[in-house]
Amino acid sequence: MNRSSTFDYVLLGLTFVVMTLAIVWALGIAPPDAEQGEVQRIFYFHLGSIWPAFLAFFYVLYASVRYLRSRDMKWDHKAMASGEVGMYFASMVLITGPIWAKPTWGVWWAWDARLTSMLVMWFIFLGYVVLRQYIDEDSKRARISAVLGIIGASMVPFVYMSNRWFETQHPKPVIAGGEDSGIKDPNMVIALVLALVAFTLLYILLARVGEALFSNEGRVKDLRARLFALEEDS
Amino acid sequence: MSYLIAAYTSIWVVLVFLIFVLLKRNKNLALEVTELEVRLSELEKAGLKE
Repeated sequence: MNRSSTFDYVLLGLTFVVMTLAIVWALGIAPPDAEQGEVQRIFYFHLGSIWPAFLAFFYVLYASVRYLRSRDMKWDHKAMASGEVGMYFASMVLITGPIWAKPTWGVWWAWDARLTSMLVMWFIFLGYVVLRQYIDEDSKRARISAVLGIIGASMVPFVYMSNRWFETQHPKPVIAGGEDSGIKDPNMVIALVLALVAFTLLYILLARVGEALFSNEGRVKDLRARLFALEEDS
Repeated sequence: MSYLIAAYTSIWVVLVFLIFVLLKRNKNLALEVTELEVRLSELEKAGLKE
């Protein structure tokens, strides 16, 4: 086992421990919200998922710019792995959001600036992931993906600021959202911090594994083609 | 509430299992890369050039 895969297994173990603690704290130790009751507990996983989604999309932006400047496929693999993992987290946000919204707002969905911009960003990254399946030429696929990844990631600041700039059904931010924002109960704070750390570790792990998979798959494809060419000639 | 705990725990266990499968798949791919590289270098040593 090489050092890189040993690190992945250590990261998996650490993620498992922190995520288990996050689940225990969020569902068992943190008190229920005074107004919303038990349903508020979904907040830890809703907010826990949006942070790594934003992080993943910012990394797509960074890796895509690096790819366009260097044309090194390593950066394409990194961008793709991060984009795909970001999509999973963004999907979790879009699933947990309505589950929380129905009992608190009375509706599953509201077409406000936050929810709509999040959905648009999700569709851009869905296109980013799906489009790659339909382009065979490696360099063309990487170039188009990089451009689309940059466009999608450029939406992150808008999505983040949308409930500050516009009146939205979605509540104002819990962190750095003004005078009334913030969580007062220490066990709620611990649950939130644990969830944020756990989901961040999960993002790092999934992005690393994804990148290694894309890289190895590309290498196998390349080596098989070279072997095939050699054996054809012999 | 107990259903909620059961749901979260089971999703988490399935996710860990999936990550484990992905790590295993990656390990197998890395082995395949090594094997192909060995075969390629053997063929090249034997005088076959692309």
